Amino acid sequence: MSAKKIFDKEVTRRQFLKVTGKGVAGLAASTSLLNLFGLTKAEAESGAVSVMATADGVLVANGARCTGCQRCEVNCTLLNDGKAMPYISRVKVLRNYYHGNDGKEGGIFGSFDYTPDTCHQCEDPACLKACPMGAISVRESDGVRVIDKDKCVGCGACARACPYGMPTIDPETNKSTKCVACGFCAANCPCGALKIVKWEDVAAAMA
Amino acid sequence: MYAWTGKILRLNMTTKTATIEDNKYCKEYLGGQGLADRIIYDEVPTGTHPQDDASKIVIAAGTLCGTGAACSGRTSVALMSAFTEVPTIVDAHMGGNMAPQIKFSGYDAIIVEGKADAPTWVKIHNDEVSFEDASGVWGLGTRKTTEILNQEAGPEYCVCAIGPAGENLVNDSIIVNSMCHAAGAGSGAVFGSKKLKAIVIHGTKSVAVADPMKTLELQQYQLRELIGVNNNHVQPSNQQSWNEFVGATRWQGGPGKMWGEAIGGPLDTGEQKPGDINAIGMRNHTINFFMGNDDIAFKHTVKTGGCYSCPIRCFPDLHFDALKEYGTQYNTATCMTLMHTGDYYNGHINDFVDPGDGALTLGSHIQWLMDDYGVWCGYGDLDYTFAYCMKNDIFKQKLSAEEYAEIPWALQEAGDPQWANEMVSRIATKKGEFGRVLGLGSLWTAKEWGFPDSFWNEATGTYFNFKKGYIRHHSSESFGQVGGLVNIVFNRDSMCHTHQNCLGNGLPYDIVKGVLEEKFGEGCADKTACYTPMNPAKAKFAKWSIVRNNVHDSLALCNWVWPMTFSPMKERGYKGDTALEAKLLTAVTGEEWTEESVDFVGERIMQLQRAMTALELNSKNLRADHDGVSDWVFDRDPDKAAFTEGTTKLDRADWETALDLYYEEWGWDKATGIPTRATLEKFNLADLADKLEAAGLLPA
Ligand code: SF4
Ligand code: SF4
Ligand code: SF4
Ligand code: SF4
Repeated sequence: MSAKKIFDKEVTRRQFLKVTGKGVAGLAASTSLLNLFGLTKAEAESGAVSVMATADGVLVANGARCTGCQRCEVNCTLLNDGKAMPYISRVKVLRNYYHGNDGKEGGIFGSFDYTPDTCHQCEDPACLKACPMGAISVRESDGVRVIDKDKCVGCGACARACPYGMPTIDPETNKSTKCVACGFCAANCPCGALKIVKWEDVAAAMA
Repeated sequence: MYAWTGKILRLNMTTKTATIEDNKYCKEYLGGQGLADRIIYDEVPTGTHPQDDASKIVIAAGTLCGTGAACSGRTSVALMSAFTEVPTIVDAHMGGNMAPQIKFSGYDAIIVEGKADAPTWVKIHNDEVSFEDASGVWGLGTRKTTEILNQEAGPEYCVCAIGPAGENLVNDSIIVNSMCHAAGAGSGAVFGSKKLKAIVIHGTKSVAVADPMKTLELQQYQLRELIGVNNNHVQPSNQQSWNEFVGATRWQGGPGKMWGEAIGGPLDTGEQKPGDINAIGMRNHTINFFMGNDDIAFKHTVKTGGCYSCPIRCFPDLHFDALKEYGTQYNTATCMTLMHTGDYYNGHINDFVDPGDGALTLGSHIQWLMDDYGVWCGYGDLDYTFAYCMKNDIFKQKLSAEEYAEIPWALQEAGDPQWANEMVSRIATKKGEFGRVLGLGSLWTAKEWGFPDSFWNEATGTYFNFKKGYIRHHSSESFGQVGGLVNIVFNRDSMCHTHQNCLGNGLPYDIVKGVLEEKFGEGCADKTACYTPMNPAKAKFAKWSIVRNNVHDSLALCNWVWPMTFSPMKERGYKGDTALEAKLLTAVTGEEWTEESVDFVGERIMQLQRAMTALELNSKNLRADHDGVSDWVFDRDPDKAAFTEGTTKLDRADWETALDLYYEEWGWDKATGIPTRATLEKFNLADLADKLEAAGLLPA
């Protein structure tokens, strides 16, 4: 990937963050972005949608479309860990599934409101800063925050530091897992509830 | 070991101990139903009543469970039945999230035995098992119980609970997980008799997969090219940009078909082209298929839901403002009970908000209560029995004057939701004769209240099996003799959908016939109500339907979606791939499995069940004692002759031929329908042959 492209990405990313600065509802003003993300205005305003500006593109998680099949969790680990182990998935649905993201009104025992949790690929990642081994770094090629398995000692500092509870220590390997923005969960979500939209397309929609 | 965990968890409720044992049956029985049935045979003495001290219940996960295979979230349960004449082996199944959590905790199955002296719930997290005091949740419905136990254990735990019906040992009771996924057949009463309120489980282990990339590749192949919707329906019920055919199918989604109450406003389910994995979950809407009525069910849909790892989402999540005051406004369900509002309300159904929304709204309310109180409908057995009692004034005749007067029938006549609360709670708590008798199941209700044989024989076509206490489940109305033969082998309603999934899938009959004849031979699949006499191809089709059903319940894949007999793709000539189960099993286990070797296990499971049934009935002749069929099968449409156009009636003499050919396919003695020693030995079931012989039941 060329330096030019990364630079473009950064510009787009900043522009995008400005639009969504006050949360997802900011999106509602941009018809072209809504179309690109496959969202309606009402969905964007409902609180069921999360939009993450990741290094690779925008990760859209739409709770209105998520039907709780948990296929994303198992697919994530089959691809990235070579085994089926939802517990260490980097996208997390089960914990919100029964009683909602806040554990109260939503979920299948409530109003059916629940949204998959995804890694935010934070601008200033708490996981990276917490790691005593320097195992988490920003991948040069695409800016994704990744874990160097050789350096990771499974201390769990990243998991504790992450404000969204995303990294999980795999008890079978004693290594941390976090999202590498591979997009596999999204590509295989049967309901189109997860989407990774490339920065190039976002740039076009904002032009 | 790949795919299997190789371990079984035994919960002894008497001693409150948990032990972990090896699973010695992985290859021979695969898992799920096969494993559970075998354990019951090994450990529960013939004739044990399900609520006796010696009774056990096995809750099993399948081989493919947890591997990410599509529709692999189902749980198989094996137990003895109370709703039949004598206790017999029955299986029950639930979707939801139980089986995967068993697997991720490190087990292929859980055996529950013994009896606790006080209400108990069991918490399982991997190897950590604890027996907890359930006195605080005893008496509560399954929803409140789940809420409380999730607060104690953690929000990610799967709670599999009983309601008051199970606690009160009602024959027609369920265990239920994830809001609405229930296993019936009296499983609730087995839990109840053991004072087991709930199993609460969350696992954080992995399921090892031999070839993860191949597994993913096969899944993508299935999702792109093979899968349709529930019941293997493969063409939509509406014209989209791509489909050649439009059928009356469960594929209800499409452009302009909206989830009317979606979060953030109505959501268009949109185009659902085969190959577009991200649209598969928008296709299915079973309730809308049944209800029709101007897409009334779509209007009340928030989103859809369903079992773990299933892309089809056959449970619509519904919302009804009008039910808020009853606390039942959010509900999720697929078909039964919800479709039978009229039975419970004796036709007294009024609109709530929109014209024609009464049956759906009230039906959802009843369903909610059934799952919460933990009452089993027996695939409509209870609904039908109840409607029969109403129609024939049985309650007036059989209940005492005081009890009859005390029941608020006015609520029923007013179409008041509160009637359902009255009815369901009475059954769940065995209140009065009304509650006690209705919950026994149709056979015992008929006995206690002296129903005439016409109850079973009536031309409404409800009970295919004569005086057995279970209802037809896609019998002779589904491919004639084929569906009929499928219905005679189990000890409860036949939950086999293999054959049924080939019917009404949206493809023209000629295509369906072509695909099936390639598999089973000419004449295997008659057009509905254009039946022909019995032939060997039909016997093969019927047998394969059962065999594959057993395979699915053991792997455990959903037999409402599998096998992939058909495909939505014109490019494939609409032909599916019935070897996919074997291919997936090979990929996840790293062992070579073929369609034939997988089906061999499916057949073994039937042979085991059949021999167990002969022992349980102490029958020398299952043909006479077990496989009897009600008169309506042959006598319906009196003006028409069998095998003429416009009737699904069968012919008595032809049915005898059908049994002959069917038994021959299975390797059962023609005269008695009992497996021969040679057959049992072929399936490594010599021990069953010995036992039958010792009991004097083995065919000569
Ligand atoms: S795969 Fe999609 S629909 Fe299924 S749980 Fe994940 S986000 Fe939700
Ligand atoms: S793991 Fe947590 S802290 Fe790290 S980038 Fe993801 S969301 Fe941010
Ligand atoms: S678990 Fe690994 S990646 Fe996380 S903080 Fe510890 S060493 Fe770093
Ligand atoms: S993008 Fe890849 S790594 Fe991240 S959650 Fe999805 S599948 Fe897992």
